[in-house]
Amino acid sequence: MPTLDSLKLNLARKLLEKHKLHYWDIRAEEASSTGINAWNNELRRIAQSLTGGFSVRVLYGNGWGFAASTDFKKIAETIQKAVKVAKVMARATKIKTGVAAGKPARIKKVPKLKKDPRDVSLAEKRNLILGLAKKAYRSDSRIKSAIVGYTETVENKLFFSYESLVEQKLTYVHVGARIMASSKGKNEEQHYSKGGLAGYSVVEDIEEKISETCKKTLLFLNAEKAEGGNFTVLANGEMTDVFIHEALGHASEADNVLSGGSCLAGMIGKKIAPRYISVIDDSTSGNRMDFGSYYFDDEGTPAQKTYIIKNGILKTFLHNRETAYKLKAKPTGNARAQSFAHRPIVRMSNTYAEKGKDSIKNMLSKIKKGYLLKGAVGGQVDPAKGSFLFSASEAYLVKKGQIEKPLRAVSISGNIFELLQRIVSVGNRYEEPWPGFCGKGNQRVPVNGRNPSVLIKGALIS
Amino acid sequence: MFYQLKKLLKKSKADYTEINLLKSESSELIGEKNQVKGTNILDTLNVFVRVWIGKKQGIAFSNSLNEDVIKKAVKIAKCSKELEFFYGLPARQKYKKVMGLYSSMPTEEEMLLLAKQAIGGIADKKKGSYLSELSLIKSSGQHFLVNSEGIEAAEKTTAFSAGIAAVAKKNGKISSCEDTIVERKLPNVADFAKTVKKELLALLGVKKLKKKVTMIILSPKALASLLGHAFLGNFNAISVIKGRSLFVDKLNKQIVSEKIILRDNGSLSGGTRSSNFDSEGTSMQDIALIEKGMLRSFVHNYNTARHLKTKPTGNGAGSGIGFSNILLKPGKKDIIDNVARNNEKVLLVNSILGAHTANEATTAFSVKANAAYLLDNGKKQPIKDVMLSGKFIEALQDVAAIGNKIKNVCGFYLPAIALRKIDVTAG
Repeated sequence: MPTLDSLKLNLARKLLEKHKLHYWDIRAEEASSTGINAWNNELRRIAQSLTGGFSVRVLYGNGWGFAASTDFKKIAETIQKAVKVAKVMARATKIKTGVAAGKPARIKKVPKLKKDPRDVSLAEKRNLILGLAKKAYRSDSRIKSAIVGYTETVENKLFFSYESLVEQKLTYVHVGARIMASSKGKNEEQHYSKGGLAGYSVVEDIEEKISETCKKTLLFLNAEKAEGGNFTVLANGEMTDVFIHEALGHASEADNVLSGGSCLAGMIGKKIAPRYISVIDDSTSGNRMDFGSYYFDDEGTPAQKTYIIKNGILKTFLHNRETAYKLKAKPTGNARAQSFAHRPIVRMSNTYAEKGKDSIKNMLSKIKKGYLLKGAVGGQVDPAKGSFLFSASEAYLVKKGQIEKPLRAVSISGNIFELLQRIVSVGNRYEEPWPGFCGKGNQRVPVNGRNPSVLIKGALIS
Repeated sequence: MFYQLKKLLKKSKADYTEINLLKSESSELIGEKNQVKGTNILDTLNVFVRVWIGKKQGIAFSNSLNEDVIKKAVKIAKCSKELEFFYGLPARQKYKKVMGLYSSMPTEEEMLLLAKQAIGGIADKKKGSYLSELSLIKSSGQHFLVNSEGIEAAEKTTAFSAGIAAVAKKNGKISSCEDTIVERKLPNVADFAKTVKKELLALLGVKKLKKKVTMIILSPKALASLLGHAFLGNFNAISVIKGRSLFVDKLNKQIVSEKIILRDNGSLSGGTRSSNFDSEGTSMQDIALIEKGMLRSFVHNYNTARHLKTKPTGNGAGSGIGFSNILLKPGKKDIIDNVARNNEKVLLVNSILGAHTANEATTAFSVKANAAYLLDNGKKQPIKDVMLSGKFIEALQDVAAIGNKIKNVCGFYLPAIALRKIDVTAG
């Protein structure tokens, strides 16, 4: 199949430089992936794919044009399409736009993995996933359904613009399990998810984690419904991750701010949370290569660690080059696209609250009657109003600091500003990360967070 | 195209082979803060191959039509394990042509005009409303399918979507509203924008809920969210066979209120999710899922149908099962009229946050009412900080009324529904 090598970059540059463009870039990708799915005693599916394509993005006057194709031979035609629509837009729009200065780079980043998943045979992976599903399914007669899925995707990404040529290779590995139990007319389902960019080592300890998930499913089988209302809640690291992501993260994306769809507009420099709250977005994630990491974003800006909130003060939004230009800020390396076929928009990467000083034991002791929440299922936000919801698959009643009994899954909802003020303390260690996918503008990208527990007073629970 | 696909088919050394090829061209016009901003054009080719050697399946995808993708699928099949059951692939068959799947594509200038209509329909300085984000998409696709049993099927389709997010700020109050329509023909964007603006302005001045409600009306949009995330998966025949569905052993039994008549209709003329054939080449059909509250059918692909000794329903989607257009039979009266007479305090919910966190295996849900109103004594007050929770199957067992106006919510053709068994928690 045509490859990145067949993309004629010099020709592309000549064609693009014929037009008076304020900005242009070409992104190209080749991705190979393997997906394995087992359900109870059956290997349901092994699928592999090799896909690729490229896109051209241009700014002519104040109009953006973007065109993408899966045919690497169509470079000239695709450039022509992008430029043509950009000119139409330039005549039609009244938004003044531009891009902030970039960081020119010529670099190729191909990390060395401790264990590259491509060095592990398909048969070994197949046996692992099928073995995990079978073991979970047979672990208890009440377990009626055990689904285990493995996905591995290797992306070779190229970014080429008037100032940069950047290549990076990202290897995603993700394992997930969904366990359902049934007894005396009652059903319960719990899940587990683990992922990262550090290679096949992601699957280490997965058997133990799935076994824990089976036990949790059985524990919650007869759980009663939680009492709804305003309660003190200890949200574990996973829950904090979803809360930070939904309640704060989306509202801090600068494109939401500029479109008038963020409640944080005009709040830079203002105190929006207690002084012990700091929130970071870090696309580097150090050497851990967490699920939301990368070396360069999809505009060639290097990955970086950004304080969104520091000691309660809103310091910056998350930016791409266009939003940075419009808000007179610096790009933060948060321009991301689901694939070459999507235009980059502002997205989070690995977003987390900085750890504090309190211990779990101490935080629990502050709860007269409330809940301990774990097992994030997901959430959603309306960033314009600051209204959000996030859900837990595990809830435990807590009375006078003691964890009493499991309760059926609950959700917390509220308003961003109110809830931030209700955080009374932050845990002193980072807990297990929660890799997932974030949806925005019809695009999904991998994200992650490695968060401490937080204690919240007066949270609305249902 | 069939010649190329059949040539590839011959190169497969598998017992059964299926090739789906999808060619698609689309264009999205985006807008921000009352202005158009840019256009995104996409031209893609996707090839999906499934092969079987005995009962061992191999699947491969690519963006290129060449022998490599077949070879890869065969290699995977050889490495795979036997499926618990496999009966083959559908044979050559005649397809009843589903009408309304294709219409002419607007030009870029016509798309710009639609964008201006959307902006004009929302932006109002006096009332403080503006269009925050706009997405207008036109797409056309060609789907080709061949298999080793003689199927050669092709169709051309178009789809159009309009997505609007709008905000209103006035006198210290703020409201937001977001909606999307997806249709086979160009939608009436001007009317759509007006509907969004009406809801946006109605939501200004939200107050906390201080009264106990006795009934919840879910609008078609809210109902579609909960049906899709908390309920429909239980009709998936693979989930039934594997023991994950709530409906195992419930065929022809009462599962919900007798007011519920629910169908999956992939042959609906002009339906958002209609087509002539599914991804395995089975003709799309109109299937009764629930009739007067009784479970009548699951949704099947070719092999689950053979396994459960029934007919395929045209719901094959890759190696799994998908849904097409979901239709709920409307009632005879307007829903507000229907419930108002009993002096009920009604919470009308137009959209919810968090439906995707619902637990499909139990139908338990806990969501936020993002656009909601208290209907009390002829008055309609927008409400904030309200959560809804419960088990959706239990809620559907006690239906007070079903409305008489159908709305298409991205392929869900639904009226509003009035339910009692939903817990309301007010902050």
